[in-house]
Amino acid sequence: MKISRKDFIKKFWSVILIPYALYVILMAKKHSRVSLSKEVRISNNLNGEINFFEDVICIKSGEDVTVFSSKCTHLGCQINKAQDGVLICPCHGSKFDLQGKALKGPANKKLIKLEFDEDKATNEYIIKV
Amino acid sequence: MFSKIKSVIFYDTYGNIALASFLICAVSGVFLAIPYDVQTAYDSINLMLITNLPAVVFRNMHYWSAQFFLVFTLLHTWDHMKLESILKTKKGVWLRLVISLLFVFFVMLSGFIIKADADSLQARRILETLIMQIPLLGEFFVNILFGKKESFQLMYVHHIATATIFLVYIIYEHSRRLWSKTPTFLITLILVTVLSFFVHPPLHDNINPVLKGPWYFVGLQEILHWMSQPGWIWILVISLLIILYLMKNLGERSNRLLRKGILMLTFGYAVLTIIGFYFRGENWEWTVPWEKNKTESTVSLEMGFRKVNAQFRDLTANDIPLVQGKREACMNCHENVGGFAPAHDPSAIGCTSCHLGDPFSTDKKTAHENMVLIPGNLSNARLSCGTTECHPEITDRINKSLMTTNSGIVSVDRFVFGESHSPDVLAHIKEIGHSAADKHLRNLCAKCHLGNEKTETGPIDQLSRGGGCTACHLNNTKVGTKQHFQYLAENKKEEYLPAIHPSLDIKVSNDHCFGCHSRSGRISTNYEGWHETLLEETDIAGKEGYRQLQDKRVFEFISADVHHAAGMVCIDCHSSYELMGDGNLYAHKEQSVKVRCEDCHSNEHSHTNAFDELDSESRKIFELRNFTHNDKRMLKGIDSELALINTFIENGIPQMIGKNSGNVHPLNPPSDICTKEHVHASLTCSSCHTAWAPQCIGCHNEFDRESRGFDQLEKMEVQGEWVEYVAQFYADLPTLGVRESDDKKIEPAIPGMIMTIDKGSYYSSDDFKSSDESVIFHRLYAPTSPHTTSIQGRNCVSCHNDPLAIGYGRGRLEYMITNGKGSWKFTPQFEANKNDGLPEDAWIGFLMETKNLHKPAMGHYASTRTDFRPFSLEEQKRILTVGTCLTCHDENSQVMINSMNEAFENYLLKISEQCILPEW
Repeated sequence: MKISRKDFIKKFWSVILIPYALYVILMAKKHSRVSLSKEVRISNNLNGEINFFEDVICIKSGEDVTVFSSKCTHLGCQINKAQDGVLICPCHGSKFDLQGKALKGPANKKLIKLEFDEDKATNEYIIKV
Repeated sequence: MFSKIKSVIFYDTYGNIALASFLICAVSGVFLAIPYDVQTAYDSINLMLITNLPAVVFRNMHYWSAQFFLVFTLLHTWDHMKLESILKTKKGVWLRLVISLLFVFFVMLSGFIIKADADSLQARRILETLIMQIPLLGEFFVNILFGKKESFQLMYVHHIATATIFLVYIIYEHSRRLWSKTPTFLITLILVTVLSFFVHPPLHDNINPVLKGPWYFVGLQEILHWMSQPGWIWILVISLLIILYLMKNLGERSNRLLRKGILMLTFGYAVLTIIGFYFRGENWEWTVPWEKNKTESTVSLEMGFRKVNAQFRDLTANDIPLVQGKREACMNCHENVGGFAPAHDPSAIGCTSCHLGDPFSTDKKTAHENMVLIPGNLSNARLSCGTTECHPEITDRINKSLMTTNSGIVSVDRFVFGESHSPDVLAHIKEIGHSAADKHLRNLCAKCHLGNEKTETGPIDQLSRGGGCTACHLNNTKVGTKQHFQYLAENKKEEYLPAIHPSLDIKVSNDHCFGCHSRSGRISTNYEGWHETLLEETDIAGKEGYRQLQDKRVFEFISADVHHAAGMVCIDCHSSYELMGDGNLYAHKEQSVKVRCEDCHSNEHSHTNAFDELDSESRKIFELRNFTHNDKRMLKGIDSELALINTFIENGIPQMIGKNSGNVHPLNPPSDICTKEHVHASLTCSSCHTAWAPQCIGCHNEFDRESRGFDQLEKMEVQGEWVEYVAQFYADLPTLGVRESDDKKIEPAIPGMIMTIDKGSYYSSDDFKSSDESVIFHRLYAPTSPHTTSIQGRNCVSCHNDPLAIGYGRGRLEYMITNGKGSWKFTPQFEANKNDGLPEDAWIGFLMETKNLHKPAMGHYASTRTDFRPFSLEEQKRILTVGTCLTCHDENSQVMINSMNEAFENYLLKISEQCILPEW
């Protein structure tokens, strides 16, 4: 059966693409990720000065603990490397000091500092990501 | 000719090859979808690689057909950018074709992302961030494309359905068919299949420290690294699409110009891709491909036919435990290997965390390819012990530690050879060249540093040098050692593979330190009471009190350090921050070592730490050592300000726990004479409590051009070597000197560099005006910490009446009274050295003014340090004046005890007429 281009486009859009797109859009609500804020719990017994976790970086300097989001402020890569006390983004080489300040581009914004509580009963930090 | 070659390579139109590739990709994708599990995406591919060879072939076909599809689609697009072709296409179709390019890249990128390895996860984060930056619709697109953060479900659906459906639609709409020519399909299938058998697409193994996007976006990765506002990339992408669309409205000349522009842009992008691929290393640093090992190589396509060990064909997920998010095939062969410390057990960290290799293969050759036999050498520590998940900070620190740099050894050696203006310059043993001094180091000293590679398996022994982390942390059991040597004896046959792996733990024994520290200052042998002699093995046959080391040197027993006698080991005093460095570069060991005797032996116990105040590393070590005194305060180092975690105060009494033995030792306070008599306040503990220190009587250094030498840094035989001709060794009380920078503290000193160096033997004699000029002479003493501590301090006479202590060398020091006038007389034991007229073993001349001898500002030094000097004439007189009293009065007499209760000058005013003081 031969079909003209116009018919093909019409049928394709009406039979497949439009219902499929509608379904995806409806489904997207269920998969919404942006509104979900996550609570991360990590042990307060930190191994060293710089401690990497999936979502956060904990910097322990003496008694002081600072928690940063591990997302690079350039393109959101997870920062999981440090060299000579400098945090390094593995994707594009941005560097940050332990106060979160961008030392070398492409990132030019500070790392996002996160608030946290300490759960003394479980010896954990509770961080909202 | 060119067209003939082209017709062979491009056996059909680009469009037909792209369509054939698309079909193969779609079909192989269906087969791949069966073993692929979107819930455990990475793990399912990981398992496939180990246990499911057919699935691996389909994965490879899916990958290669996809790459073909991308390349030929782009070539097809290029082909149809010519005006005559564009004009044949209707406007609407052209628009949809241009938009479909986005879908081509989307289907490729989504395929890259849903393998869910380390590269994919970062690519997903980047793409999410980029899409979020699209005004108004960013969040909506992220939701419908990616869904929940930890899920790949939506991306998977879009990969297999959304993008595929759209592409089918586009293909059909503009070509009116879904089947390419059969020969084209078959040739493409053959090419893809062959490639699939021999070149395997990457799956990040979490070993390679370099992260890269898919090859077609590596150039984009480079572009993005220049953009602080990466959202602008959308403008670039949309502009390109608009330009493509508008090509339909251009004339012949503009079309040709634009195509030239696009060709040049493509060329530029290709250059960026090559740069990104081959010249970007870890941490976005520049690198060159020929200096990278395969592990670090960004081109992680694995070449060769992938074999599966027939023995393991029926493996299932249950047979391969998931360790740190990864399944390794290693333990299927190396099952039942034990002996590890819990933190380093394969059940906790796997095998490849340390040994690298290919975790996804059951074939021995493939699995062992690029493996590191001895992890922990500093050359590989960054990839093994020092990865982010393990000990990255320590790897940073240890590279700066003095045991790695050997800074003092290098800079003092260069100084005595006249190649440096000061002995305190920071240096690194790995950076030495081939000057006379550096060659001297290469021949005689360059073996003892942590960067020296451990190249042989087996336990650490007296001949071991370096080895990075393994130098201290490798511990073999007796059974393990026996198995290891049997394995070697049996030519490494598999059936003799040791079942006991060395433990990697923090039980650092004195034996770990012994190899290097039984040389030079010899603190390891001193500590155990052994003094090096020039005797031979035959000289000591049947004699007691002697010992021969593995390197054949013969040692004589003198007396052990009191701490050794009590069962203490090196690490009981020296903390991780001393042994692995504290992140700072130091010129000499006395700057790097922070522990002081007074940290433990004090009347005051107020300088303490509670468990909660411990730094992270100390706390970790505290727990690893299973200490339980976290309810008690611990002593804190005066200089280091770090807790001595193996100490605690109980009922006001400080105590120390042996880190390896677990034995508890009381920490006794110093005696009254140490703390209450202000007259000796400038003496360090070791200046009195050193029982003996090894000393030599000079040496001569000459380069022997004829002999075959050994370059210890490069580990290879070389022509010619520096030879050191030594004289007698002594084990005597040390000489004393003054540390200027530490409040003029008195410290022990030994002959450091009393030597002649015949530089003329190394360089051509033409380089020197006379033979005298070619020979350098030095008389430099060195501050030392002999590690021969005795409970009883040296007596008064041993300093005030001893020529060796004051610096005159061995001999007879007598106080003479002639005609009612007193004077000191010194008769040296050794003859005068022809170079300076002083006795061979002396530091200074008898009652000699030394101010001109040690003038750092002028570059004159009397010691191997800028801040350490011998006693000045004034100080010698003061010492000998007390010595004069001691010639008549016993040191325990009331007269001498009283003399310490007031200023000595005032006390001298009260002396009787019988006392005759020296006249200088």
